[in-house]
This record gives sequence, structure tokens and C-alpha cells, in this order.
Amino acid sequence: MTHPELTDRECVRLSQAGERNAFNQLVRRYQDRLYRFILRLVNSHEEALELTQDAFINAWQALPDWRPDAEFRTWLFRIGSNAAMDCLRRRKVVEFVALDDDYDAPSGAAGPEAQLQTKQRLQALEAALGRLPHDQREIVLLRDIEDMSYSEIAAVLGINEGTVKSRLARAREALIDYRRRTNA
Amino acid sequence: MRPKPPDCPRTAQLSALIDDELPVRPRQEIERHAAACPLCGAMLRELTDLRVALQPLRETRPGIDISPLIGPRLAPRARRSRAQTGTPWWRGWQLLPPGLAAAGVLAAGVYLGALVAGGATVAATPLTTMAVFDPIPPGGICVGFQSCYSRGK
Repeated sequence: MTHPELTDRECVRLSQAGERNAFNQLVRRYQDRLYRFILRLVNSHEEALELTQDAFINAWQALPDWRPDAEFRTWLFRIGSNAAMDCLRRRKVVEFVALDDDYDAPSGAAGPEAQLQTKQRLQALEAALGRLPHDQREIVLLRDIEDMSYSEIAAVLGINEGTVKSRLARAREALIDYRRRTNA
Repeated sequence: MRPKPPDCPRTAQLSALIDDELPVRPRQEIERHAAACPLCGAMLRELTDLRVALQPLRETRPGIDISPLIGPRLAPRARRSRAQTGTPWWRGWQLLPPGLAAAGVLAAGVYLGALVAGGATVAATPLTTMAVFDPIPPGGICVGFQSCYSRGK
């Protein structure tokens, strides 16, 4: 049975009753977002792809326990965040450095190939993100890439909003500082 | 970066300002301050620039639709999940034999025990009772009748 565009809540209710098409709708809605969130935490396409699938399967299995007062999106990202953390623990690497300190990104205005520069700027930004401590990186990703509110981020990470606010500010300061130093 | 004067808002406040996560009054105060303070104004611009710079990172995609990959893995887990929620009524009989056997053995033991101990009592009681009316008490020697003791006859 196919469903027209349903809200998350409707999809979850149908999925709880065993409707896999409704669950597939949730998968298609969130797969890109969850994948890119996990990818930037584990820094590996294959592992991110596998962990994204595992997160959805875990969500499917835990759906009977899902409480209607929670947002499905924040719940799903929480599962994804835990999966990424478990993966890093298995690797015994929570902090990793993605780029050398002396990396120097090309300046924005000079250079003939604008596309290449844009790509390099994004690579530098990815590298800067990769240098952040895991807990700060998670918050930047949830706020600036996934556009979650402070209360949603607090729900995903199981921390209070005050911590979200201060940790996000520290992460942004670190990114700004890195961009100044590397001219990214 | 130069240290901020003590009356400047903390970076957390400026960061929350660009996220629209401040109540109306503090937001207005910080906006007024940032408009007049070169340090906070510059920091606010950098925070905004950073947020804009991060937007293209939203374009990252896995490159494949993962829902067909998940589908085959859902079914067995879903069935197991349902099975874990409770035992179907028709499988309840599987729980019966051990209990029934134990109860049966116990009942048989009690019955046989009663038969051995209680049954002997029941059989002995009428004998003892009836012995009162016998001429010779149980275990006694007959002394009542001369015919029992023939003396030279």
C-alpha cells in the first residue's frame, strides 16, 4: 500500500502497526540528513552508510516504544548519534585530526578557477569541522547543517539548552579562529 | 583577537542572537550594543559569515537510496520484535507439561502414601474392634473352654 505525503507522526503511527511503506517514507525523508550527520562524525562513507541503515533498522525495532510526545526526527538523530559514538569507541578514536595545522586554503578572490576554489573552501571547512572535539562538532552539525533549534538539539544529545548554547558558541569560536588562521 | 570590554555580551549571547534563540528584551539590548561596539559587531559578522559558509555542506548525500537496502532487513527483525512482545495463546500449552507432571507426581505420591499408611489403619481398626467380642483376645491364650484343654479324656 502506498501512502500520499504523510506527516512524521502519521508515518510513525502506521509504522508502529507494521506498515513498511510508511516507514520507507520516513527513510526517504531522513536518509540524506542522517547520513551526512553520521558521515561527518565518523569520517567514512562506507561506515556512515552502514550506520545510517542500522539506525533506521534500530528505529523500526524500537518504534513500539516510541512516545508520541517526542519528535521522530530528534529521536532518529539520537539513535544516529549513539551509533556514531559506538563506532568511534570501537575504533578507539573519538578525536581525530583531519588536516595539518599549516594547511593554507586559497584566498577567495584570487585565482582563475572559481569552482575549484569553492571546492577547496568547502574542503577546508570540512577539515575545520573535523578538528573540532566530537561533542562540539555534533552541535554545529545539528544547528548549522540540520537547522535544529536549541531545544531539539538538547533532546537529541540529552543535554540542557544552556549547555547547547555555550557549547555551540565555543565550537563557532574555534571554527572562526581556524578560518582566520588558515584563511579558509 | 583583543579581549572584550567587561560590558560586552559573551560570545554565547551573540551566537544565540544569530540563531534567534534569545528572548525579545536581551535580543534588542545585544543588537543595540553590537551596532555600537566594533568588537561585538565584527564578531557578529563573523558568526553570520560562518553560518552562511556552512550551508553548502547540506548538499552532501549518500548517492544511493538506502530504503531498498533496509527493506529486506526489516522483516525478520520486525517478526522477532512481535514475538518478543508476548507468547501467543496457542503456544501456552508448551508451558503446561512440566507443571502438570510435577503436580501429577506429587498427587500420586500423596495418594500412595495415604494408601500405605492410612490403608493399614483402616484395615486394622475393624479387626481390633471386633476382637473385643471374640472369646480369645488378640494374642491371648484361650482359657475359657474346657474343650480346649483335654485332660486325660
